[in-house]
Amino acid sequence: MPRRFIPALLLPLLALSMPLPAAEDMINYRQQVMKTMGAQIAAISLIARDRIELPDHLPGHASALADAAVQARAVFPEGSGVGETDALPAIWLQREQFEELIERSVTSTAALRDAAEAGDRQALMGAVRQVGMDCLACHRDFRREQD
Amino acid sequence: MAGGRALESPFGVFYSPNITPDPVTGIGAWSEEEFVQAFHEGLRPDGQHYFPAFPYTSYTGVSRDDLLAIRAWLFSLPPVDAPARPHELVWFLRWRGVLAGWKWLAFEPGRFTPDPERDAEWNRGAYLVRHLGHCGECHTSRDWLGIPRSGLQLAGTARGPDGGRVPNITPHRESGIGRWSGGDLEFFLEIGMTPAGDFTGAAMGAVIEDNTSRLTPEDRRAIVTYLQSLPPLPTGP
Repeated sequence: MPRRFIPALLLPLLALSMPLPAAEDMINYRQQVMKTMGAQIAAISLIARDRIELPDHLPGHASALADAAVQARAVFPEGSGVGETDALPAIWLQREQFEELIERSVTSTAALRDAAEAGDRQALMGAVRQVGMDCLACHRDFRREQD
Repeated sequence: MAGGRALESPFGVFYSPNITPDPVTGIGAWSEEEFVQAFHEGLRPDGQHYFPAFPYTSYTGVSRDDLLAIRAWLFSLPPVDAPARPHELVWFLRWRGVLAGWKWLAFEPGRFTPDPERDAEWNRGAYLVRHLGHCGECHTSRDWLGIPRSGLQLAGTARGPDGGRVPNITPHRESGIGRWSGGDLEFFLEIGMTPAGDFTGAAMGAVIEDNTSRLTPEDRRAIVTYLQSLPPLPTGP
């Protein structure tokens, strides 16, 4: 075997020995994704309830919300449940139920984005309610109770 | 509705009973009178006292018509054969006779009577908050006997039913809901979102999912009107 292959053979070992992204960084990132979702749905709710008259902003908020919901799929990796986090161990113990709830929020935020793009206010309000129910359902079982 | 849900308290763990219409393990054999008596008087069909984990202290104010409507709905459900799990309580509560004394101290049976000085919306809100919705059962702090502190109604507590903090829902600006607009409160009861975009979880998440999100907008508004009319109180212990 030519010697120049040896480094190539060692590459997988190198990858294994590299440190995983620190749990704190993942927790911090995850909290930003969750805060983004909260900020976008709060902003959407103000416009949808005619408290703020900036309907042109709706598609932007709704698109950011739907993107963050997709990002949420990837922010609960194994090992990120330790440290300063409100994520409950149930996320990793009952993975199937948790992922089902994440998928529900991906679906409902996509419906909200579609309603916002179509300018359909009635569908929008229904979608806001559904997103709310999905957020509640997940926080109910998988987030530490807040003070 | 087949029971078995645990309610932890300083007095032990209560398990909710089967309220499907199964005639043996549920309430299928109960007459209308027996059903109403449970809510209005806190008495089982055999005359024994209920623990106030079943909040008859609030339900006593619910109208007979509303109770019979609830009974009709429960009796429309499929019966489930599920025997009740016995409560796991401290030794001095294992005999239900003790409850007669507790009820003498803490329980005043009686239906809700509207306040003629207030309008229909306020009265509807009072009925929903105090009786049908039994909000004070969690949102009011209790003394060492487990009796809600009458001077601190709905002012929250540091030690709620599951041991956690329960918020003050009087219109106190610092510790209660005094800074929330009426619209924000109605929307919270509808979808569970705080004005900052956070979503409640745990016990209130269940209340919103199963109850307040399904109310009519008029009933949610009535609840908010009533809550905003309360005296602002500092948070209870």
